[in-house]
Amino acid sequence: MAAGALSRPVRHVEYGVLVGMLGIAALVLLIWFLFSGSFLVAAPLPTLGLLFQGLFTDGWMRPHIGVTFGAVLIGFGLALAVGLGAGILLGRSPYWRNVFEPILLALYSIPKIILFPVFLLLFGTGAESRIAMAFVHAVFPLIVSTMVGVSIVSPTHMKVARVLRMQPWQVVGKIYFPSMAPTLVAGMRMGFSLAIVGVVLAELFASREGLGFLIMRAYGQLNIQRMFAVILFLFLVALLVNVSLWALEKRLRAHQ
Amino acid sequence: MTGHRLRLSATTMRWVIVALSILALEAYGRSGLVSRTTFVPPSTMLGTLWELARGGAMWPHLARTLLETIVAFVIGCAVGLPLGLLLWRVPYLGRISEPYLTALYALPLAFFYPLLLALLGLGPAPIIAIAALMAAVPIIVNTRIALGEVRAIYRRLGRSLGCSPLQLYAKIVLPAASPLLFAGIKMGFVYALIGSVAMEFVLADRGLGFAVRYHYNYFDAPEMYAYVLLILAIAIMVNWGLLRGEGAAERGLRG
Amino acid sequence: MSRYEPPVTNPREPISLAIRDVSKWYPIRDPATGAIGRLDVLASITQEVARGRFVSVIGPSGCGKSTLLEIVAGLREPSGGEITVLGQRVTGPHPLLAVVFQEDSTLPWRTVLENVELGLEVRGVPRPQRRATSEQIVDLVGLAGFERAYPSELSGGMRQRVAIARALALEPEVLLMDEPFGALDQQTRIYIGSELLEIWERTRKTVLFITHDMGEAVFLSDEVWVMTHRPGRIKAVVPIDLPRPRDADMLTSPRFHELTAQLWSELAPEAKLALSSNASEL
Repeated sequence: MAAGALSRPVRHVEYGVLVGMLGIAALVLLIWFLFSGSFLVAAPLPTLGLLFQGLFTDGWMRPHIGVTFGAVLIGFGLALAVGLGAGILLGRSPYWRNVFEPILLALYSIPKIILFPVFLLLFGTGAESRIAMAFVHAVFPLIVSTMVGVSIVSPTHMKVARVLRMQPWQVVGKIYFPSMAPTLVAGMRMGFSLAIVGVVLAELFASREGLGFLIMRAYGQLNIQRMFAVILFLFLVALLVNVSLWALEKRLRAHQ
Repeated sequence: MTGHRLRLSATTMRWVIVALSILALEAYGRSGLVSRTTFVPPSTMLGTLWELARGGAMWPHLARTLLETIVAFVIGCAVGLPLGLLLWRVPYLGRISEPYLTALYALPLAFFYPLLLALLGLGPAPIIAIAALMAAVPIIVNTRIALGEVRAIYRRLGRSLGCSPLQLYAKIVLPAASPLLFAGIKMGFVYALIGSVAMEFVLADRGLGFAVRYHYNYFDAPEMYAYVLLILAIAIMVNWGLLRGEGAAERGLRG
Repeated sequence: MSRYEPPVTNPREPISLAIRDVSKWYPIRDPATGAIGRLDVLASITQEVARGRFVSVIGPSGCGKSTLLEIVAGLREPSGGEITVLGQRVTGPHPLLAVVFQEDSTLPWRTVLENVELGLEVRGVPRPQRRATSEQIVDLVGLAGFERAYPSELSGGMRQRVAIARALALEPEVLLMDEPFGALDQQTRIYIGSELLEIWERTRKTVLFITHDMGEAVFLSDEVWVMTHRPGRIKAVVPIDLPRPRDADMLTSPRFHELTAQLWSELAPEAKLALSSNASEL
């Protein structure tokens, strides 16, 4: 019975499960509330107030959000283009897949933060280095997921495409893309989240702008509430992106 | 069969590609297109690394990183395996925690580092805490999936043979789940290493990540690149070793 | 029935499908000597099918009957000979041919209706028109009410009906079916077989049907081609004179059993050969 619970497609979340999910969120809030008050942990409500102020009324966070997510989006976009291209090329040939898969997995597993000083030396301290960070963080999950997605396209479906005399672009649009969509969305989720981590880590280190810089500056000024507000914002964005792409992936997988 | 094209084996081709990439970097470093303060050729990196090893400067950093990674990995396993088992045994808990675990996978846990730094002080402890958390997440997720994918027929078989619950796990469930289980453990180790090096880089007093940052700050390009190379080598070797372990786990299942 | 009969054709109907001198072989390397030899899979096959006839091909496993179908479908090239459909030479997948595969070939992310529409979509038929055609065909194959269901919600037999509907929607001259019910249980096969006959009565397409099930071959066909063990050739053509329309009651009639026995007498020595040769390959 437990085996089925995982593999069975979940089409709609039942009421009890939804309550449980909200319960976990409430539990986290409660723990936060209990631990707050010391000088290290900012209280939840004032943090939320400060976040609201930073986003809407005062807007002190807004330009930095633009800086950080600008780099994330450009780097992610480049990684998506490269990842799709390389993934499709490699996924179609078992031989080249065999050649590159171990290399890609090894590159996937290196701590990419150490490349940041290299980028700083090569590209300078501007936005380019941070875009490069977003790129190297996002590109490997995207290549690997595209490659896997292409290689799991059913041979029977490819035969169907042939007997129906599909044009190459029809094969991509009607067979390849729908077959690999769930895998690709999973790769995009990983890639996007890692791009955020990469850029913010880079900003912690060498930057005069961006959300990572705000965290480091608030930490330096012992303005714990402000630090929490920025971290909370990053968490909420990452949670939102992850949960919505995860739900999309579940929906795409529901009929596979 | 019709087109007899000469083809290297995939392994040979892989080494050819790696060798050509290294040669290209060497040529780039020596070409004069790039200054020695920006990039050094791989041969210089290797030479500098040798000197750092001989002079002894490298060892405390290496020891610290390995210590943090291994301790974080062990904690990650100790926390992740039972939690994964729990989430599998109690499907309701598994269902309600699924979106959070999915998000935690990629959430910037690293941003809690400043907090832990203030709490635990500068040293290995806050780094181990973050890296252990990062390692635990893939282990939890994969343990749950691995156990869930064990075909129900195996468990029915075990019960029909009169296995005790302990025997059922030891003889049937764990061996059947081991390939996926190992994949999770492998990711856990990789994440422990990534977490340790990344936190050292952000703020630390020792460790390979710290060494990279330190030499960047003092414009010592050869030393910086030497440590980058060392970290790459460790990551690749760990990956390779774990890949072989994974292969062995799969073979063990079949044999 | 005789040892070898010239192709049975009905002079009033044009030749729908012609197979002329088709052979297939693969180069193989002898592991002991390293010499390159050839493995003959199909030996010179020549047959014709008149329009509107239901022809089954039966043979022992590994005799090359699926290879023959893939060659007819234009999915594989013959080593020699040619295929024509209505006089047009088949050099690749052809618009006058539609194929139903043995494996489930429905696209899981498309509803029943969207699966049936697929071929028309590829041909660029405008949406309202292809909707209308597909709805009609979905009805014809008995899937009315399931238009919006996904394959994951259907049984194996229903999915094969979707695949048949997808093929029929293209209005092919010849319907090629490669053991389409091979993965189904026997009761479902009989049931879906009689449904296929009903559909066929209404459309009267030319059908080339690959099977290893003698009862299925007799029940469905106008004639059955019996293939030999490797290299496959047509050993005998058995005309099936059971009256049409047929239904499942026919499975108990004496004539049905006579014809099945006749098929078995042709097939038995080949099946034995196949068994011993497959065993020696292991």
